[in-house]
Amino acid sequence: MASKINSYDKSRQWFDRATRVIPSGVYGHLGPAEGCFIPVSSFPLFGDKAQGSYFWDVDGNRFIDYMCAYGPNVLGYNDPDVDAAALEQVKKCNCTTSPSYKMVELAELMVDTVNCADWAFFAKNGNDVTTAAIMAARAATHRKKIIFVNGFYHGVAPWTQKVDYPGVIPEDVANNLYVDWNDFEQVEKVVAENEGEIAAFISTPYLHGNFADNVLPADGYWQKVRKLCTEKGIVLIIDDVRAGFRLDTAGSDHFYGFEADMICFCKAIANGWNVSCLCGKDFMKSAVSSLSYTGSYWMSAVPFAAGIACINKMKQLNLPVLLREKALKVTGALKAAAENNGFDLRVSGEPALFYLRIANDDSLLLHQEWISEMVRRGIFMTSHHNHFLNASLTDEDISLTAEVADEAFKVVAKNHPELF
Amino acid sequence: MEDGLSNCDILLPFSSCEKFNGMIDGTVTPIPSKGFQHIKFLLKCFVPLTDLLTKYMRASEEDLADPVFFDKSTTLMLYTIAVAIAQIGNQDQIGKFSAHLIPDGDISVCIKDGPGAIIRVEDHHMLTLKKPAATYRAIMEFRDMKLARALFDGKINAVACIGTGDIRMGGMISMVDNVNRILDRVALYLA
Repeated sequence: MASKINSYDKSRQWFDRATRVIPSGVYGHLGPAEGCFIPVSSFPLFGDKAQGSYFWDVDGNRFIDYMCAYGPNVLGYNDPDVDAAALEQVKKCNCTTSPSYKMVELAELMVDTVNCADWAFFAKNGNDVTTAAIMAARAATHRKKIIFVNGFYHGVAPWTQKVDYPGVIPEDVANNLYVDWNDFEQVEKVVAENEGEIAAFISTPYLHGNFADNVLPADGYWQKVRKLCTEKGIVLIIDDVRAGFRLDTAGSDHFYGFEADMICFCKAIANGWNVSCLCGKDFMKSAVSSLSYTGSYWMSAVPFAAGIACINKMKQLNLPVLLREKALKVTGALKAAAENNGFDLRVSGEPALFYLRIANDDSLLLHQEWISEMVRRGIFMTSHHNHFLNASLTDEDISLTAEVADEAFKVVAKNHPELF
Repeated sequence: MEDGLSNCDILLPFSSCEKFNGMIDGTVTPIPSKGFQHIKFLLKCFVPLTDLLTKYMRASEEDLADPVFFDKSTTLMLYTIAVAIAQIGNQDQIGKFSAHLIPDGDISVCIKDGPGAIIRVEDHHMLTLKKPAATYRAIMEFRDMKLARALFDGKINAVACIGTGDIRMGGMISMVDNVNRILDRVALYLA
């Protein structure tokens, strides 16, 4: 096959215009720098419309989207049921002085759905609720220190960045302790060295950091951590912002056989209508109530209505099973295409959030080249981040993905006769 | 990997960092503790060379209008920054934090069709080699000398330049990311 190769003239025009009035043009993870558009010329910079598993950029190029807006798209862009619920709520009210009862309905649904949840607290972004969780843990324990797992990402507030980041000062992170993933002995050691001083242990349910193969929890790891935290009065916080609802609608802690004290959700709650949620056990409810922590848009009703529709539909579809099935088809097809062309494509992490890496070299240069060829042919993937699926992805989409992957592997192999 | 030399022909000791900086500023004349017979070289060549260093590193707009001077000055700045990155990564407390996150390998920091340097990382210790990389594990390449100069002078932002394609990065981006964090600290020392 010979795919159409995208051109991005209008994207570039919009980007040039953007750089005049927006720092970096498009900043953050959706932009070319943090988004690792390598090379920039292969990637679209601005979108125009989206539907299901596709988005179209401003040049009219269609993409099968394996990033799903970095997670929010879980049922398909513009899901009819979710959007209908949202638009019905728009007609009534959204951001009002007296919050809508929709908040109560969504909280009840979260409590009914999430295994460890006795209450729910709403905000906008994932970092809003990871920050709430940390503050609540400190308020409840009167302790300062927090254990992080190396390779972490819990948002962008200074407390969860690193000391060498611009705008972060040593005092912001002075109470942060770091352990390696799956190293329970190290966790024990750090806890012993800081006896009585640790407020919380915060972690994603498995290691799904960037630029490295994702790693699942070792057998018994979470159970041991859970026991230690209970014994030492350390609040166990699971950051389920990325994986939430994709492994288990009851929470990724439930998926791995343990219970968090608090669990953070965002991306998949409402299929792109923006809301985040902190859930937790009854003993943390009072500490959360005590926080001075609020935001102008946090009780907007439209995302609550969308969230109710989205969660109900995810449960009805048995979404985690559905996504796993689709993911195994996708990754199986990609691995087969790789192998047919002499490439060693590694797939890691949970299937529904698969991470890819070509291992023929140790620099990621080949992998970036292959991803670039995929994107230029309308399959949107990234070279540095786990991928996401949504429920609307079809077998036809997966077949096309496999065909394009094969073509892209052939192009890269041809570019490197010294290797293939 | 080791920095510095164990054998030398001339040894210039400085009792403090202030004295070393005085030599650079031209307020202190270095006295060798070894190689006194080379004093003529020191007085006639070495000290004037440090004056030239200032001319190239703190170039006037007038001097920069000369394209040959511009290229030499920008090349010198590239090497200085690359060496500074290694020293800060090895010595500065926060730089060392960045360095400990960088895996082993060579990072190419270069100007397209122009000069380049290699920042070699081994066991989180960094060493700069002032030559272009034939192979690398990560790369940060500037579009041309003019862009590189604007970046070194702090007139433009590196993140914005990645978006416009004026800076190309590739390979192990985590290496480039952490080198950029150290690069942010160069101005603290060399401004």
